Amino acid sequence: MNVLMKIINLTLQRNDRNILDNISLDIHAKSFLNIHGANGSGKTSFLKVITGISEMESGEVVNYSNNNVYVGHKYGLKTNLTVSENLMLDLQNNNGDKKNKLTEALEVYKMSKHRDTLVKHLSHGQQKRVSLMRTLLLDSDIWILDEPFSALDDETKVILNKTFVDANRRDKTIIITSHSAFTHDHLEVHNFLLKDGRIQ
Amino acid sequence: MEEFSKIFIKEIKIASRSGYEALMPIMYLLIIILFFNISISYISNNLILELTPLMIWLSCLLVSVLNLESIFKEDYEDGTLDYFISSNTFHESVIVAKVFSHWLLTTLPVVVVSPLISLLLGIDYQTTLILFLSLVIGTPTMSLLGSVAAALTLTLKRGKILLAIIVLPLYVPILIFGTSAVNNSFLQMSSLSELIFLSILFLLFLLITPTACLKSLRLSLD
Repeated sequence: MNVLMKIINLTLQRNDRNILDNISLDIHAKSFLNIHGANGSGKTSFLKVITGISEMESGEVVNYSNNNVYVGHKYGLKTNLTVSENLMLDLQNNNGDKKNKLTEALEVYKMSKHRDTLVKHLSHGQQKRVSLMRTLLLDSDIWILDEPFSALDDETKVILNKTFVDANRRDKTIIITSHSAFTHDHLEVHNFLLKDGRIQ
Repeated sequence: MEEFSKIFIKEIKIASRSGYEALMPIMYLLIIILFFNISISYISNNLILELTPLMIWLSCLLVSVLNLESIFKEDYEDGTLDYFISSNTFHESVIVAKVFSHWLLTTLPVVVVSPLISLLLGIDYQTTLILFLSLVIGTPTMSLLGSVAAALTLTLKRGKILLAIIVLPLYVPILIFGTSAVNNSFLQMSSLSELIFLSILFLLFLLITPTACLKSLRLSLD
């Protein structure tokens, strides 16, 4: 399998403490990575560095794809816009038939009836669903999701799991964070424990 | 250009749903001008006439500073900035679109109202026209310059005062050329050179500030 992202000796410091300490990792195309660890172990920091949001003290992140989507703890949604307005604005003109893609994503996440609802009128979990829809709409090579299963009900967790399986079939690379290691019936999950700034 | 129009449409849509908020800068301008007028009401009418356009210019500058914090604040708080940066679509054009739409929605209404206030307060047409032109060129320049400071103070909880402290000294050249243009017109002298200088400053900051702002935002988010 091709290496899609190469992380070389990544070190991130905050307040003279190494949050990430000399991490090296090859992320292969079509793989599913679960970076797990306790609260404050540096999972979000790790994702923010590999997406380019935060800058590292030393090391290098080589992204051969340059086409990734990140869904973090904050959803990046405008509360005064409707669900469809938020998502339509994300789509480039060359993303094919915008409306069909949107309809499809809304159906997958069972949000069709909320298409024209202002985001501020949605619950926390529904807002998270909308943010996760971006993964389907943007068709990026790498999905980087920070604790995607948190704040979701059981139904949405099933949908998300199914989305991961479909994405994996479509050769997407998925990097998620969570609090614990897990296995999946239809996916080969590579679990990495992040502890004391190091991947174990 | 596609990114520019996307951001621009998004900002206009959001503003169109925020209701009375769009009127706030105008209300603020009217209150400042009222206070100025009360405070100088005891001096001679001729002097008041000479001071009025300068007072309007200064009021617009203050309104502009008041609004600066909101350029990136909402995007930072709701995670849009993280999303932009991570999706590799965060370029100078996005910054220009953000600053321009912010200026259009928060400062342009003030710039449009200013000549009306000027005429109501008895200023002649020529001076009012120069006031309008100098504000049309000067205020976006202030927004561009202010965007860098807004980016630097983005993550600070009480960044508003620091933001004002950073930008106000930097606004001095714009204030000097803007008020000189208006004053020259009032004294029936040419204001062309001041307007040209203001235009040069605008172009200069249009070239420099988006890159500086981008770096400042990355620094703040880090």
